[in-house]
Parts: sequence; structure tokens; C-alpha cells
Amino acid sequence: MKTRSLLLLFAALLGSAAASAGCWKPQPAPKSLTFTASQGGAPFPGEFRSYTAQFCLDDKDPAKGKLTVDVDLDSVDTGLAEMDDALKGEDFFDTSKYPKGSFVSDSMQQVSPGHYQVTGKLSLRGVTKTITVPFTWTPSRDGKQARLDAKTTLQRRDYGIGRGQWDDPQYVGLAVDVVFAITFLPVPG
Amino acid sequence: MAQSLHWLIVLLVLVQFCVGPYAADLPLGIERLKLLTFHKSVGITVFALAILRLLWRLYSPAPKLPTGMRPIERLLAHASHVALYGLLLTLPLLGWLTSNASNLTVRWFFLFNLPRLTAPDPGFAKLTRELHDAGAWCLLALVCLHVAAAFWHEFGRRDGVLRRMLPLWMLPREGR
Repeated sequence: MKTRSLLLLFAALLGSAAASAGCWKPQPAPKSLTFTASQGGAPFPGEFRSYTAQFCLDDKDPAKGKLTVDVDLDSVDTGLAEMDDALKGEDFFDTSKYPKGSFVSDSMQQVSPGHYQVTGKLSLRGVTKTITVPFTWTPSRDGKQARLDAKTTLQRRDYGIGRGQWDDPQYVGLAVDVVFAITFLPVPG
Repeated sequence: MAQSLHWLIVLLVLVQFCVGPYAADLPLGIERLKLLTFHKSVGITVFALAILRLLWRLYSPAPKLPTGMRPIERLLAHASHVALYGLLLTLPLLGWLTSNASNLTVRWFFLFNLPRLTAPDPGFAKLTRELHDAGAWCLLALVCLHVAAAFWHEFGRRDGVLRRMLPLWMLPREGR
């Protein structure tokens, strides 16, 4: 009995440790990594159904935080099957050559409580650029999950996305909004 | 006013019949995107003009059919006009629904976005698209009937119905 309560105490300590200085993994959910491009001037929304991420944050030293995201570009879903095929094709993501899009943070800073800013390298279609993205990090009261919300606007031409016939910015907008609305769970241990 | 609206709608519907089927058969590409963007804008214009024309009819009712037409002829005339207006309104709506059900928003000539009428649903998009195509064939058939009837009035009955709809500049001087 005593050992069991000790174990429980130990587990509780571990749990709280994870909440203050630990790493987190996303809980897969639809519409958590979405984007809005534009076609013919009208918004053209879509999402990536498959991605992995890891977020590590030390509340006492946010600058040591680390965020990595790996997106499976083949999982693009715009609700239009033939458009999805085009997006996977050579003129857009070229997923046979570049199956993943990735973000790896270089530095992080806390702007205000719950508000952060991360700077890191975004790689898409063989092009790597440094971008800075503001985000909010909202742990639940019990510390069992937390929510990461971020929004950034990418210029598709920076990464050579939308080539050839699709280059026309009037019909295929240059700016693409990307939205992360991801629930994270603590990584045990 | 009724004449101008009639002929403007004729012109736009003609454009739609050229652009629509041509674009629909193109492979996915910028050309199809451009043409369909145009097709949607023109379609919404037809929708608005058809509503305007109906409102104008309320304000300034259409002249009565000439006397001496048989009841069946009158019925056919009224029915075909109702069907023409019906298709001028439903075809753009079906196209609009098809876009929205395909997760696309309709924008009018790069100026403003139209509201989304329905949530994305590929099955529903297929249905509305088929109805849009079938409706277009019905419109084409009705237009042929409408033109044939106009000629019948002009050259068969000689009752002057066609002249009522011609723009003034097309009429012979004594007919004005």
C-alpha cells in the first residue's frame, strides 16, 4: 500500500514536471493544421491531415523552448480531389521529390504571459527560409493538455510553389495563410 | 428597359453557352480556372438581371398577348416564359451551389465574394452539377422554342409580337 502511494506521488510529480518544463506532442485532430490560399481572388481553404510536431517549453526559461513540425504534404485536403492531385504535383509541392514540409525552431521568446514568438527554418519544396511566427500557448488548468494557436502568412513564390501555368498571381494568390490550432498532450517521462 | 434587359441577357446567355461547356471539358489548369471564374461572374450577372427584369415587369407589366390566339397557344406562351425565367434564375443558383459544395467561393469579377450557400459536399456538388448541365440543355431547347414562336408570330400570324421586343433601331421607320 505504501509503495503504491509512493508510486502515485512519483507519477504526480512527473506530471507536474511535464507541465512546467517538458515536451508535448499534438493530439491528432481534423482541421488543426489548415491553410487558406486563393483562387480567382476568392478564398480557397484546405488542410493537412497528417503531421507530427514536438513542442518543449521551460516556463522558467522560455528562450530554451523548441518547436519542430513535420508536415506530410501528401495529406493535403482541399475537398476537391483533382485539385489535391495538382497540389501534390510538380507545379506545387512536388511530393514525390519533397514529401515533407518542416519547421525547426532556432529561438523562442516570451512576449507576454501565454504569448510567444518563435523563429526558425521552414523548408518547403527544397527551399529553406527563416520565418518568425507569433503564437499563444494555453495549458489547461489540470495541465493534462495545452493548446497552441499560431497564424502566419507565407508567400508561395518564396518556396517556388505554383509554377508554370499556375504562376499567375491574379488567379492563384501569392499569399497563403497558415493556421495552427493544435491541442498538445504532455509526453510522459 | 424590358427590351434592353432582354437582349443583354440574350448576349450573356450566349456567352455562357460558349464558355461553360468548353471550360468544363478542359483539363484542370489555369485556362479552366480563368474561364470558369469568368463563367461564374457572368452567371451571377444573369441572375441579377433576371431578378431586375422580373421587378421591372411588376412595375411595368408586359403587354397582353394578341387577341385571336387559341387557349392552348396562350398556355404554351405563358408556360414557356415562366420556364425561361425559372431557368435564368435556377441555372446560376445551381452553379453557385456546385462551387460552394466543391469548397469554392464565388467571386464576382474580382470585386466581392458571394456568401457560401452550402457546406462542402462532393456528392451534393455532383448532383447540382448534373442538374446545372441538364438545366442548360432545357434552356437551350426553350430558347429554340422561343425563337421559333417569335418567328411564327412575325411571319405566320403577322401580329407584331416580335417587333415589341426588338430594339428601336432595328425597326423599319413606319413601324416605330
